[in-house]
Amino acid sequence: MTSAMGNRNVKIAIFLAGLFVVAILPLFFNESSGFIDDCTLALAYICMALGLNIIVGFAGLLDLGYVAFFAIGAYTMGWFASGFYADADIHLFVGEFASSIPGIHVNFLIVLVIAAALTTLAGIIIGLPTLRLRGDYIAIVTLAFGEIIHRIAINGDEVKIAEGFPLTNGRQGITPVDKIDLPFLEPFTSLNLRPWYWVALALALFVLFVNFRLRDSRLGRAWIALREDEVAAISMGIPAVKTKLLAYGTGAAFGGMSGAFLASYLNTVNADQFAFSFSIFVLAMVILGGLGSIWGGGRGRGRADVHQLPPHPRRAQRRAEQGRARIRPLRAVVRHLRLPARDHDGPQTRRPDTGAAPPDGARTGHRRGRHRARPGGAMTDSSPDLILDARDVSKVFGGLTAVGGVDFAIPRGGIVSLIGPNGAGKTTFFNMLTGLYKPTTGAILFDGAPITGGRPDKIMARGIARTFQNIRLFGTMSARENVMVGEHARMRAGLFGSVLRTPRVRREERHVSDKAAEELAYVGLAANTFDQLAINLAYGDQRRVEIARALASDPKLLLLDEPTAGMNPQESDELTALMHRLRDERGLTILLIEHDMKVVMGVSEYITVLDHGEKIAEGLPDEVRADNRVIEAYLGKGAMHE
Amino acid sequence: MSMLVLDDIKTYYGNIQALKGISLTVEPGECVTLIGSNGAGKSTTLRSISGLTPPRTGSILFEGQEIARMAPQDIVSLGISQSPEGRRCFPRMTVAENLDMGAYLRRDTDVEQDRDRVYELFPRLEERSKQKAGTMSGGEQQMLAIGRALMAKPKLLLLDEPSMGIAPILVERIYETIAEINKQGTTILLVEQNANFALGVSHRAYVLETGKVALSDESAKLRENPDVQKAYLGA
Amino acid sequence: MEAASIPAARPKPLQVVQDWLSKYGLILVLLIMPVYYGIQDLSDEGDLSRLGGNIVDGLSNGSIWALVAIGYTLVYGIIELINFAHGEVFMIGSFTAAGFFGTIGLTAGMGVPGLVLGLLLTLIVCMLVSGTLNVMIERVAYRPLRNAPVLAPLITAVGFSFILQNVGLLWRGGSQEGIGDLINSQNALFTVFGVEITNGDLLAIGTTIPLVILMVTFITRSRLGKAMRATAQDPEAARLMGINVDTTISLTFLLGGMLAGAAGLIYALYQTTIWYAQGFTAGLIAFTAAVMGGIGNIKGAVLGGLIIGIIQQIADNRIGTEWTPAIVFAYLVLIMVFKPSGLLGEQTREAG
Repeated sequence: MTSAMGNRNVKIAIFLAGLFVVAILPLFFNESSGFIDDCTLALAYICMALGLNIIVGFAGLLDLGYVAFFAIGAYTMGWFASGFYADADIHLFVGEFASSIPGIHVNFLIVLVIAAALTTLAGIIIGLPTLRLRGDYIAIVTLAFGEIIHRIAINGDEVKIAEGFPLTNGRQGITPVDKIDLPFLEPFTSLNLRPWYWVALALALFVLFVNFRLRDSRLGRAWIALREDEVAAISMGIPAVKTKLLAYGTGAAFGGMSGAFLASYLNTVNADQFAFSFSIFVLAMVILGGLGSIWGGGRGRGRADVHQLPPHPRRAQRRAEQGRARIRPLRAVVRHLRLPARDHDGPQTRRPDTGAAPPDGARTGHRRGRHRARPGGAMTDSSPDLILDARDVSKVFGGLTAVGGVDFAIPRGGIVSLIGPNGAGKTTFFNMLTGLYKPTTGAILFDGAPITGGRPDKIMARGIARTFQNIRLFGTMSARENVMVGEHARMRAGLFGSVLRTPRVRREERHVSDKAAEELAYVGLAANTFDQLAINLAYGDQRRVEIARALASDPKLLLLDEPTAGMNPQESDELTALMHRLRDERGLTILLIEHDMKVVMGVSEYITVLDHGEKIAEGLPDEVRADNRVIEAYLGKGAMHE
Repeated sequence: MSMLVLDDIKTYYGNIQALKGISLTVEPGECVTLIGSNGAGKSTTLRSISGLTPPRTGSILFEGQEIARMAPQDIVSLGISQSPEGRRCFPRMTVAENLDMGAYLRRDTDVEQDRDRVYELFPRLEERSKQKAGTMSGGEQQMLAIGRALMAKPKLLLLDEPSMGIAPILVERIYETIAEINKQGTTILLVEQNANFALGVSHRAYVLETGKVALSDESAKLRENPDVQKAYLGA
Repeated sequence: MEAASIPAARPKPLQVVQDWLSKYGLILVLLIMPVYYGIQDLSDEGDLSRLGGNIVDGLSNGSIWALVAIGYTLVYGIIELINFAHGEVFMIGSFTAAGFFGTIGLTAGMGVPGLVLGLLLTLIVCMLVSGTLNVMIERVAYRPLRNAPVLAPLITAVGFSFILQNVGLLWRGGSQEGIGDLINSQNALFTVFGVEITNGDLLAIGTTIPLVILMVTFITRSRLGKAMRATAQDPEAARLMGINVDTTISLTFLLGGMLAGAAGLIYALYQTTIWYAQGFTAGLIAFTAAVMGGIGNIKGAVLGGLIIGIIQQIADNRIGTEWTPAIVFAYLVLIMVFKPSGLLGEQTREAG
């Protein structure tokens, strides 16, 4: 019996004991005690905080309008379980009392499902316009939605769905709202709060369970990858739109469910409940509760520590509503949010550096001097088996031609290099191959099929994987998890599978984790570093992890963008050897961008030289080295005798 | 008197110790190189001298004055300027404005003259003086970063990886210029991955390994050292 | 030819629509309301004077939002933080103005020279108070969190916003307070094409334009202004130039606060009612304006402010004041959809 197992059992025992205490807690208090009241509200708010945690904490989408989901959930309860629409007469699985009064009265569980569905939909609608936006813009757009919903709630009494059916009851509120009516529990009344407490507890446990299950799933990794570095994430095969919308939808559903519960518990659905300050209140809970520990990721894997909620959320809530929220817990925020230690050698800049140097002296206008023939010799005539064939590809940025009419082919199983001065368009070319940029003209065939302008995740799934000039690992994930993200496109687990953790999902997860370890070992990472955070790894190791991550998707074509930048000659030699192994042992085709001529000349079978976005030469290494234009534009005379 | 004396400085990023006691000296008029692999602490040493990441312990004497706990702007005003790793030009300012920023603390009237000198060293910058720095190529930005640091009229110029990510032909040109700047009388402390060129222009060099000085000698001698050749020169 | 076998990237119909929308969609969205109501006015009343009146009032209101928005945009540009307390700084500006009127005994009955002098003095006081307050907020609430993740200062910002609201609540009570109409703001000065230009319009636009010009000149020309821009573009490189980044950030908050103070005074004179919660709404609207224009961009903030002012005025006048905020925010969402980086924001290449 390993100590880890023992540890785990102890943890489970502690959890169960804690759960038992929490479950029987109300029995020690008076049925209508204020304490139970506080706890019930706290649990309902926890549900929302955990929902928001999926959006903000996992996926990194700063949502300042979460109150919208509370509102929609609460109104669902108001519409479907109250006497508000007295002209209607619908009763569905409800108790005697509710059956006896006019209006729409639907059983709480059904309302809960409707609320979840409606808020999921709302989450997706609110999410859609934010998809292309950066962090703070997302904040302001979600905030705007929150305010719009708030306004609709306030003025909704003027909006009639049909005669006698106003949308809301404005500031007067829809009241009374049906009490929850569930079998096997004591009756839900305002004098007996225990059943309310248990329902809230069940909801909170459910949401907590989903949170934990998702965190360590394919989807959870995709969210965190998107949060850490969107460009890298989509280049690793994660469909950004779908994944982000899943976060919005899931997170919103929990807000809606909690909102429906609160409507019944508070016995009113009032427009004034849905002010901006409530969004901030929930966000503050998320941050105090543990978003920090996920983000800080100080040691080991980030952990959604959801147990440290502010002591009296309800009071804080009241204060927040009166505009008097205390800010004392801020010190706690600060303590929680400390960044992890940075890179050893100088922190990274906070500004994105695409690596794509802007079009250097790029010029508008015509292509000229394209080489007459297709790649000479061995390339076209005898081996027509091209894995990649790009024809007349160009990219124009606002009138500046970064790449102009380049023909480029790679034979299957070859190692080919793309070299040229900075700003020659090499990385731009890479970005077109991987789908980050859409070519302005031209066509790209990969493995016989066109991929021109396709989505990066789809191109990745077809078998083109890449690394980045400036390492773009997901810093708060371990090396192993980084590589597992690379396998995203080859996995199948979905939202529900991940929550239920079906045997198939379990098997897949185990398989992927093992494969990640294999890849890491293959590129030469020491086994004891597999579970270290990527950001804490040595520079050379980070480069290795990036290659392993690219390999994890079983690509046919591997694109390496200046892999030896910042490496010393010894490390460069090791990398050269690795490239040869990849080709010989795995049959990979490699396309390399590189400045280090020793590496380029040592490894390439064929070299293409770009300058000012145009191909100025191509051929065998010795031919290129002797080409006068190349020497003039790029190599310099020193390279002749290097 | 030595121009710069680092005595046993220890620098941390959070809890991670990046420098484990670095001591080195730079004499007036010298060009000194720090070589070593990534993570050895080369850039951190320069950042510590410039005051961006002040050392937790140890002392840095510049012309006899303790600067280890000074603010970056005061260190610049004493005559130390740096061309940082990754160039860090102001992308939405023109080349000329970038150069002006280099002379930010200067009140004297020779700024024009120094700008001409920079343009003389890097004619390409003059051609592009009205262009936004962010739209230039990596090599041009590197020239700008060096030129910008020169605009402070430094006694000591710190250069961090001037050859990183630059086409071979430009690396040659930039190193020729570095040698020229040194010849004109500016003392230089250079950090470089690309040890070949760096050892070519410098008088002395220190080899850093995991936050410590592993070796120091005249550059010419280090070039002959088999261990250095194996690890840093790719022989 | 071999190449003919490869299907070229021909633009699909959907792509054409998309391209068209991304080019002109935004302009279309912005024109919907004015054009719709313009046509309505023409058919109902035969001229455009009502719409013209809306636009003039909108520009006056909008110039207030523009001044507040510049504060957001400057601060965001330099430390990438949404200064949520900025709206409250504006509110304190209004309150200071109201208080100072009483202190120096400014009344509508005074002659024009006295009034102008008094108002200029008030303007200076308001700008100083709000500017200092903003600097203090930065020192207390943001500077200690400079290295923390973005969410931490965001929360302290909201916290400070609540604190200042309570200060306002304690200072002048919880209800809307009318203050004397010192400049007789609704008095029509002259009429152009049937559109009345009032004292208030003149004050708002006449104060805003010189302030904006002064600010832009300062930032583009002066040494400190250049330091601000450098710090905004790369704080660490700025420190290597010898720029004192802390001082520069304080300066940014000072300037932003001063403009908010000026806006507070104009608001008090123009609307003649003030209350403690005015800052919250104004803050949201002005921030919306800053984002709409492309955050970090001063001209964008001014443009955004003016546009929002006009939208607001039309909505107030035609649809109903209770719906105005919803309409303003709906506009914001639409603009973000069509131009994710705002009207004048720079398109980042990475977004592809």
